[in-house]
Parts: sequence; structure tokens; C-alpha cells
Amino acid sequence: MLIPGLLATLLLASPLWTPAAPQGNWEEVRTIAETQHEIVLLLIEKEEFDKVPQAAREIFKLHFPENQEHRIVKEAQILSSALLHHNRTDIAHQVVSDAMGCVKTPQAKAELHKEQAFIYRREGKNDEALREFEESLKIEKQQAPQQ
Amino acid sequence: MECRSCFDALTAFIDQELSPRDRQTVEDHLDRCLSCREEYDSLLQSYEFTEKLPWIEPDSRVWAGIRSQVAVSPAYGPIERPVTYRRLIEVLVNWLMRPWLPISTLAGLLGLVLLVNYLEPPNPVESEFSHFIQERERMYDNQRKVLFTNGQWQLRDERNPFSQPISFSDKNPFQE
Repeated sequence: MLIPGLLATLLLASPLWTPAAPQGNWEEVRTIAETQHEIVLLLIEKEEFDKVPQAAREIFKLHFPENQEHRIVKEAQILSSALLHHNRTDIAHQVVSDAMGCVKTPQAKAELHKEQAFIYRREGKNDEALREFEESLKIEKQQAPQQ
Repeated sequence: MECRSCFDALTAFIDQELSPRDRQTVEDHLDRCLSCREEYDSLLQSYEFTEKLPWIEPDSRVWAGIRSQVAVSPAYGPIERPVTYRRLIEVLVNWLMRPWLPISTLAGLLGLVLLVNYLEPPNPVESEFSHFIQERERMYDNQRKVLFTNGQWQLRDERNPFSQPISFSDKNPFQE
């Protein structure tokens, strides 16, 4: 009872609340992201899709250390799955694109290109899907000799 | 009635296509004219003979040949077509009249397509892509289950990727 109440309060206040982006304190970043993630899921559940990209951006713009960027990728995948469940591929594209702008590591970028490919595929746009997938392979290939 | 007119009317007379008046005229002439009577008897005999013959359905190729010849015949063809076009029609009609030919041709083409597909090496990117899509579809189903049907705690990562790892065991939640 307490947790849904708290989440509802956060949800109502979310347009006004822009979490600070703490640097250097991973635990703080993680806690904010954890809560904000629940807010985004609530927005999707309530089908307030227009608010989703902005709320998701609050997570992406937190300063994630590079070794934690896989969590942003996972977040993009979860949100895109939830949005695809509601057939909102347009918002899913936007969320993944926003995530792409916030990650630095080539691995994360490559994974997000794959996610775009998956959304295109779900839309039946096979050419675009294959193009995004090839882009991800290109990044992975560029990365391979360095590793 | 003249012999010439009687001769022309004989077929219609046998087929009973004449009016009663014309019929009577022909009958009167046949009673008087020996040569026309002989011609009538001969024609009647031919009719009776052909009626006794068994009915034979001609082979479809025979009909196809007749139709194609009629089609290209200047006497029956409405428009004179170029020779190549006529030949093409003839070949096509003959080809279609033999059912095993189109069927075997189509089967051959299908076999060729399958063989080419089988021999063609698969595009590595496309096969990798299709593998990725399969994996992602599995993940999508899993995530949907977790997100929309209160998934089990074991799938925590599929619910919130920012949650702390669960360190307690299934038996004792206080055990580190």
C-alpha cells in the first residue's frame, strides 16, 4: 500500500521533478534510476504515452559509469517491449533513440541499434531493420580489433 | 421443277426442313425423274450408312489442329496476322491441349528454383539477423510476461534493471 502510494505521488510530481544527476555516486544514480523506471512503467500502464519519452530521458541523462551502461540498454529493451505491447512503436523508437544519445560505449550503441532493428522488424519494415542491424555489426566489427 | 433445283433441295428434303409445299414439289419431281430419284436413293443410303457407324470422339489434338488451321486460314480468319504471331498461337494452343506438358514444365521450374535456393550460400548477415530476431522475440515474450502478469522475482532484471542484485537465498531471506 505504501509503495504504490509513494509511486503515485512520484508519478504526479514527475513532470515537475527533474532528478539531479549526481556524478561519482553510483548508488545514488542507481536508486534514482530504479524509482524513475517504475514511474515510466506506470505511465505506460496508464497509457500516458506522451509523457514516457520525457520520463525515460530522466533516467538516460543520469551520469552512468561506462561499466553500468548495459543497464541503460536493458532499460531501453524493457521499455520498448512494454511499448510494443501497446503497439506504440513511435514512442519505442524515440526512447531507444534518446538512450542512444546518452551512452558512450560502442557495445551499448551497437545493442541499441539492434533494438531499433527489432522495433522496425515489428513494424514490418524489414529493410530499415536490416540497415540498423548492419550498423550494429559495423560498430562491433570496429570494436573487435581493439579488444 | 428443274433437276438442278431438286438436286439442291435433296439434303433439306431428307432432313425434313422443307415447307409442305416444297416437299410436295420435290416428291412430284422424284416420281417423274429417274436421275434425281437415283441421286436421292444414293444420298439416303449414305445417310443411313453414316447413322449406323459408331460415334467416335476425336482426339483433343485433332481438334486443336483443326482450330489452329481454321484460325490461320485466310478463308476463315477475320484478320491476316503475321506468321510469327499465328505460329505462337498455334504452339500455345497445342501446348495447352496437352496437360502433362504445362504441369511438367511448372514442376521443372519449381525444382530449379528450389535447387538454386538450396545451392545459394545464405547471406551471413541475414542469418545472424534472423537469429537475433528470434532471441529478441523470446526476450520480448519473457518481458511481457514479467511486466504484465506479475512475473516471478527471479526475473528481477526483466522488471527493473536498476534494482540491487538479490543476495538472499530462497530458503533464508536474511542469509547473505
